[in-house]
Amino acid sequence: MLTRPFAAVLAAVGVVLVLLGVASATLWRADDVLTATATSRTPLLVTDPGVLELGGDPVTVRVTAPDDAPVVLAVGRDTDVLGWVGTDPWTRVTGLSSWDALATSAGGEGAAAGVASSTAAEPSAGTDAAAPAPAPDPSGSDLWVTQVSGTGSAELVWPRPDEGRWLLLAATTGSGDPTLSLSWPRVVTTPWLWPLVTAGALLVLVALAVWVRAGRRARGDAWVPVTTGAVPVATDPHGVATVPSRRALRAAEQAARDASRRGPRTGAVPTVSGAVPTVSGAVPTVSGATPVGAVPQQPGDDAARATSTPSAPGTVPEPVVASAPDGAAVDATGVDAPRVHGDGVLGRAPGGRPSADPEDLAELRRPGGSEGDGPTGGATSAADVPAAAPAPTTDRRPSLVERLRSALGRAQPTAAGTDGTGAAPGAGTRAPGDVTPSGPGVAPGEDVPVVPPRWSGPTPGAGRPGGWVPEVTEAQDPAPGTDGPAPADAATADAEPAGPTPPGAAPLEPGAAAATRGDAWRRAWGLGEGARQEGPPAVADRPAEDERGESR
Amino acid sequence: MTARPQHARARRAAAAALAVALTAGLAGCGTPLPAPEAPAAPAVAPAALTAGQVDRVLADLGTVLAAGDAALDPAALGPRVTGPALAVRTAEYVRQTATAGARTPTVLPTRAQSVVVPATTTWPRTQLVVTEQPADLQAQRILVLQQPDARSPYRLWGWARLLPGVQLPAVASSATGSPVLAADTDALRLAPAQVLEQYADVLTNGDASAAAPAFAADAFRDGLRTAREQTAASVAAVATVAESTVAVPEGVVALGTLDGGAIVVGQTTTTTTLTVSQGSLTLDPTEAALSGRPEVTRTLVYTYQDVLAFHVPAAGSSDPVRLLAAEHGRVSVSGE
Repeated sequence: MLTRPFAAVLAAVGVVLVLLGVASATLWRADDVLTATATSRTPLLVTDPGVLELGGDPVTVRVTAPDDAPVVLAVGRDTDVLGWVGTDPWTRVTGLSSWDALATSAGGEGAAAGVASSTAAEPSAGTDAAAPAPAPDPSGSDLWVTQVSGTGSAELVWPRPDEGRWLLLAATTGSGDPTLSLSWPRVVTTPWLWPLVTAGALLVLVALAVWVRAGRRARGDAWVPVTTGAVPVATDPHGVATVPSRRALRAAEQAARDASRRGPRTGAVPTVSGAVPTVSGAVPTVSGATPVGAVPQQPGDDAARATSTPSAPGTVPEPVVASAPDGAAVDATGVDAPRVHGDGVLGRAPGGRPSADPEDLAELRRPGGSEGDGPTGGATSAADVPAAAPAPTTDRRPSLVERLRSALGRAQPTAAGTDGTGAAPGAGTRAPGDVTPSGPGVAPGEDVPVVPPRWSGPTPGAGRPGGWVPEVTEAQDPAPGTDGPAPADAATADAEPAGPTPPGAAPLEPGAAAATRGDAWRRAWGLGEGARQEGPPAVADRPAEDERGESR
Repeated sequence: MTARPQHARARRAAAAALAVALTAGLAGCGTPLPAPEAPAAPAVAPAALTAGQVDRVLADLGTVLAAGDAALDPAALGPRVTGPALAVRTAEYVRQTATAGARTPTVLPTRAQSVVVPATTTWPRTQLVVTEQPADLQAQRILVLQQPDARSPYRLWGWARLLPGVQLPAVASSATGSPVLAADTDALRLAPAQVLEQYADVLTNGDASAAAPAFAADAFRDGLRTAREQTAASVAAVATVAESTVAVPEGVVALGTLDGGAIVVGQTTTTTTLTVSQGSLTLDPTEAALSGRPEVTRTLVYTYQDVLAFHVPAAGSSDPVRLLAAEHGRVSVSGE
């Protein structure tokens, strides 16, 4: 608990230390020049040995006297200076009393006892007696090593000598007392700067560490209570009671919705599939009807159909009509036939093609889906035919394609809607709507999407196509007959030959095998009439390509 | 509840830490005052004068001499000339004046060839300066500069001309300084004071002096004798000549040399007395100027101040005392 305050204190101390360190090197940093002054009480002022050198090198000596009295500064050997001073009263500078003041004491008999012997020996005793009155003037003496005179003030620079004891004599011959100042350049050291700063920084760091650790702990502590606090809350009977019920409700609702939504699809599969067999059985027949019946079945599509159908027929009237009926019937059987081929059951027609199929498959896989459908979509065939028909009449295509496009543009939306809802019928109905336009024989409702992507783009249930593609590709296997190029030919040629063959077989197999198989397949894929829808490929592809080539 | 005491504790700790830090910081600022560190006093007295001081003194002396010589005023010499030098110089000024400038004062070069500096811390102090040779190729002078006390300047006390053929003894360098020997020291073969006394006796009595053997023959002594004899010869008809030399006890200086001996500088006074037996003696202008009378009828007294420089060997040495330099300067003439 105390860690944070402790850390704070530590940090504060650290900061203070740093500040102190900095201050010691800045604020409190000694001046570069140490100047100390003293005022003498006697006309003579003499420094002790070593005083001149105590502060640094060199020393700048300055003496001032009131009233512009003559002043003299002189430096000489200690014996010379003291010998010159003799017994006169003088003031002795003994050192520093503070950083800006010189310590002084009275010179003379007591202080200069050592010198007394030499001075006593002097023959000049006679002059001393009379001396006190007039202030002696040291200027001009041969004793001085260096000397400066002035009026009022004088300044002298004295570099540190190699050896010897040198004294400074400051004197004034005036009535006032001289003031002496000594200045030394100093090498100012800041010995406390880094120690303090370092120590302070360390303290701060330690404080930070402590703080952080404390913070972590605190957090940990904080978490515990929170969790513990939360737990009870969570476990609060009321809360629990209410929450789950809502969730449950929601979940239930959701589930219900989902079920309702999915129901159609997933649920539809079985239902539809269940229907499929019956329908499938009908498929051939129905498929045959598809082209025709489609119109009536889905009114919504009617529009599309109406537009498309007419257009398709309009453009390819003959073939459509011609092939449609036959192709429809034939295709219906044919549709199954290819599948059968795929199974290898019916190796013939497909078998012959199969050789090309693999390659085609590779190429056509995408298209193949659609192409492969070509055959499958017996009903498509009708549409295919027309689509294929146009192929030969490539010239016309553009117009047709455009129309188809426009038709698609209109029809698709509706088709999409229909797709979702009506599976079996939709497929049938659509097929025409979509197929017709796009050639498409692809007709079958679900195929539409597949085809469209190629054709006009994604619009038609992009989601599905993706899902579909694989199927289609698989379907293609059997579809081999539905070669890209083949379609046109196949549409006609195959349709014819396939038509005949299948008819025989178709009834047999389609009716049983195809139907069952288709059912199984659909079931497996959850498709309604998906089987049929594998249609339009070759035809669709071409037109698509053509379209692109021409239109774009 | 425990938080408060702990806070208080923390605060106290913080305060303590702060105090410590502050103390440390302030202590850091308070570097001790530098104290003077007096160099140890030298065991041996240093040279009393530095080369600079010697030069300064000589330069100043030269200035003073030039001023005095120009003005022929001995008063102008006061600051730098004293003793025998001043007396002799004064007489020379008189002579120059009396001779209308024909006889100029002795040339005194003030540029030193070598210096013998005393190593002492007391006064009086005496330094010897061997000057360069004068322009007229006269003998080199030895200038004797004396400082009687600390507040007095070095003054030219006397000068002496180096005697021909004399070799100066080796002395310590001027930076080191030569030891100053007392006038009565027994470190020398002859005490400095006795040197002058004995030499004065030799001058007075010639080879008859008991001290004569201690002194090597020198040109000065011969010169004095010759001069005396000439004078006696010149005035033999009317007067007799008597000459005596007396040592002046004051001002004897002995500076040690490297051979253990010393250079002893001193002064003697030589008095030459002409006793007129008949008639009178007519004085030359200089003498007349000095004596204040053109002729004397009874006595004529010449007073000379001699500045002598000897080399005295160390005690125990068998070498004689040699006279290195001497000046025989007439300072006064009196007569009746």
